[in-house]
Formats: sequence, C-alpha cells, structure tokens
Amino acid sequence: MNPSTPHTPQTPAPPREALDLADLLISRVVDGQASPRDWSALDALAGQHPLLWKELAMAQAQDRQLRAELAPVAHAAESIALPTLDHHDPHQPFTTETGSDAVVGRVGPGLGGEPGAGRGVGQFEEPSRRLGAWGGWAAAAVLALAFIAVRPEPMPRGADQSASLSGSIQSAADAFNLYLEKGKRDGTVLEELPQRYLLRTEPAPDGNGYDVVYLRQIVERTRVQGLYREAIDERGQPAPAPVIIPAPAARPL
Amino acid sequence: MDQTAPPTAVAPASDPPIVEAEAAVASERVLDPSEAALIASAMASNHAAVEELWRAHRRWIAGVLMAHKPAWADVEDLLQEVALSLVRKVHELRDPAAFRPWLRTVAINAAHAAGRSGARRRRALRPARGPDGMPVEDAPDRAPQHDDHAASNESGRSLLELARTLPEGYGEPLILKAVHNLSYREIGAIMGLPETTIETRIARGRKQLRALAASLATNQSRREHPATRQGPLP
Repeated sequence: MNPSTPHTPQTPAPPREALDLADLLISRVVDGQASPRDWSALDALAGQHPLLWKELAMAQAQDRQLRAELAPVAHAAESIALPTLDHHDPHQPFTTETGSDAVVGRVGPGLGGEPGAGRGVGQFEEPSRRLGAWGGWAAAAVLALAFIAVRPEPMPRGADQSASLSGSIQSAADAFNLYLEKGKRDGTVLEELPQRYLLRTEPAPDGNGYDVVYLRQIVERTRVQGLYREAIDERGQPAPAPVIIPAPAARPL
Repeated sequence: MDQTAPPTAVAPASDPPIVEAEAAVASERVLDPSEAALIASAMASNHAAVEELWRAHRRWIAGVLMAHKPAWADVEDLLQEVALSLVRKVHELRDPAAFRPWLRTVAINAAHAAGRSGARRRRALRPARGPDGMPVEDAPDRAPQHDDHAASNESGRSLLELARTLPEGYGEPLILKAVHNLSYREIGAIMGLPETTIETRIARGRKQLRALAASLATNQSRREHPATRQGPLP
C-alpha cells in the first residue's frame, strides 16, 4: 500500500436480501400501498442503513416527476376519439336504438350485406359465426334496452301458445329451464351457447370447493319492422339509414 | 487484519434474473362482470361499446406506446392507429378476458412498425452532409430527445427518457403506473403477469432509475468541476 494514499475505512454493504426488501418497501410507500408492518420493517432497515430514507425521498421525487412528464401524454390520449369506418365498408358494425325498429348486429358478407346473399340478420350458419355476430347475453341485454318501448312479438312460425308449461318451478334452475323450453316452443329462444366464460373464482366460504362466477349465453330471436345502420347525412351528422336485406330462401334454423 | 491491504471495492449487486414461474396464475384471467359485458358487446360490433372501451383504455395504451415507440414517433399518431385497429378487429376476439393483452399487443406492434418504417425511410434518404462534406449519421431510433413538457435533470435528459432506457420488462410497468395510476393487478392483467411480479418489477425499475439518475448527476458534476490534480505530472 502506498503510504501517501490515505486509508479509507469501508462501510460494509447491506446484505443483498435487505437491499431487495428495502427497494420493495420503498416502492410500496411511493405507491401508497405500505402497511403499518411495511413501515416498521422499513424503519428497522433504515436503523441499520440511514441512507434508505434518502432513497425513499428520491423515489418519491422521481415518481412525482415521472407523473408530471407523462401528464401531457395522458391529456393527449384523452383527445383521441375513436374513428368511424366508411359507411360503405361492408364490415362496418352498426347499432341503432330507434323506437320499434332496433337491432344490434353487423351486416357483412354472407349476412345479407350484399344483394343476393340469401340470408338475413337472425339466420345463422354455425356457432362460431353466431358468437361473433351476437356476442351472447350482453348483446341480448342491449337488445332488451333497445326494445324498451316495444314488446317483442313471438315468432308466428312454430308458435304454440296453447302448449302447457311442464313441471313446477322449485328453483332458479327450474325457471331457467322453463324459460328455455317455452322460448324454444314459441321461437324466441334458439339455443344456449355451449361456451361459458369464467369471470371469477374464489374459495367457498365454507371451505367446500370453489365459488365460480361465469357468463352464460342465450341466443334469442325477435321480430322488428325495420333494420337500420349508422350513417352520415348530408350535414355530416350521424343518422340512421335503412338496410334492405333480400328475403332469404326457406331454410331450417 | 492486514493493515496494509488496499481498500477493497464492493462489487455492485446485480438483479437476479426474473423468473415468471406463476404463468398458470397469469392465465387465470379475471374480469369484472360489467367489463366482461361491455367487451362482449364490443365483440358483437356494438359501436357504442367499442367507444366506451376506447375511452376507458386509451390512457394506458398511450403509456404502452411511450414505453415502446421510437423517440421521434408521435404518440397521438400511434394512438390513432391503435384506435383504428380496435374498431376493425375487436370482433375477431374470442375471449373477453383477452381484451387487454390483445390491445397491448396492438399498441406494441404499432410502436415497432413505426420504428421499422422510420428506419426504412431514413435509409432511403440521401444522408445529410456536414460542413466537411462527410455524411452525417442519423441518431438511433431510441435516442433521447427533449420534450417541451419534460423536466430535465442536470444531464439534460428527462426522467421519462431514462425510464425508456430501462431493460425490457422494467420500464413499461413503471410508465403504466405513472400515466394512469393503475394498480399492480390491472398492470398484471395488461401484461399477462402476476401481480407480485409487477410489484417486484416496479420496485426494481425504480431502483435502477435512481441509480441511473445518480450516475448521470455524478458524471455531470465531474464534467463541470474536474478534480484538481495533485502530485507530479506523468
């Protein structure tokens, strides 16, 4: 060792695990997620390594600065509106909720979007197309809202209003099955889609298995007097435009 | 203890490799029922539902774009592209739970495509020439550029610029947290990672950001105040 070089005592570095824990605790404090236990743990670590308080102050200052720098970006994002597609685009989605002439769906190739397509809204080819076109009960819920002023008419074909209801209702499942049965008879219910979406799972409170929340999808049909899609009028304002769909050839559902 | 031994430098601790062992947890996509209904409605081509989704998610999409786009690309232009993709392709989704990861992928692809098209454009252009007639190299895609809104530290680089230089997987969750104050869980749902992984990455990202800023400040200080030399010249 060179005698002219002063000897500097080395401060022992904190253990690596303590560093990782300190970083995690500092981050939780910055995010407002630190529990009282976290604060105690940070206080205990800082007792051995006081510079941790400076680290915390720096982390908080940087968080404020980063948010400030990103604020204009967030503001710019709020100003970006969703574009609307060209109304001549055969794949343009359309939704109208105008009185008794309301439907939610999409006119596209093979679904009555072109002359001579031979099909109309409400006629399906396969389960995947049905799902893509109607999206399950969520779309049905929107339909229900759209028809608030109109009582849906049961389909005249295949209706059997005199059919008696079978069984008695003991549970929600009974009522649901009865709804399916009755609906299929009068033509308002086509089917329940087999695919179900898992929304949430959690252990059962009594410890016996799991509570599962999932989405079921029912395909229904109703009759409307007219079909419309969103369009733009000569003033550039949104306006419904009638959709003409050729009468489909007779085909079983 | 050897009193004549020179001081021993302490090697900096390096972060352990990130191990995402909880992939099975990430695959358990949990959705709020109202959001699931909204997404399902959008998948059924309900334009109002698509609009509502866009309003709810465009802010964090901007955060993803900021984390992945080249410095020169305009975030508003990229947002327009993502919005257009949303309108055109949301009906192709098959699972509402996949909506956020899908939208994130669309944003990342838009950011990367901007980088590729910008690089091709620069290669096609004749290089500028300096006063000496030699060609001037273009700045790399992710070179930090000053933003009028960005506060610069002593080195002239904004904190956002520094955050964008963090290793893959660290910058994005940090930016998402700052741009939209998303929870760890929400960021995890977007990035397809467990909540605990997001918390760890944000903590380590902040640590690296502090180290970066401190290092730049130290270098800047040395440039401004060079140490006075003592002893004979070599």
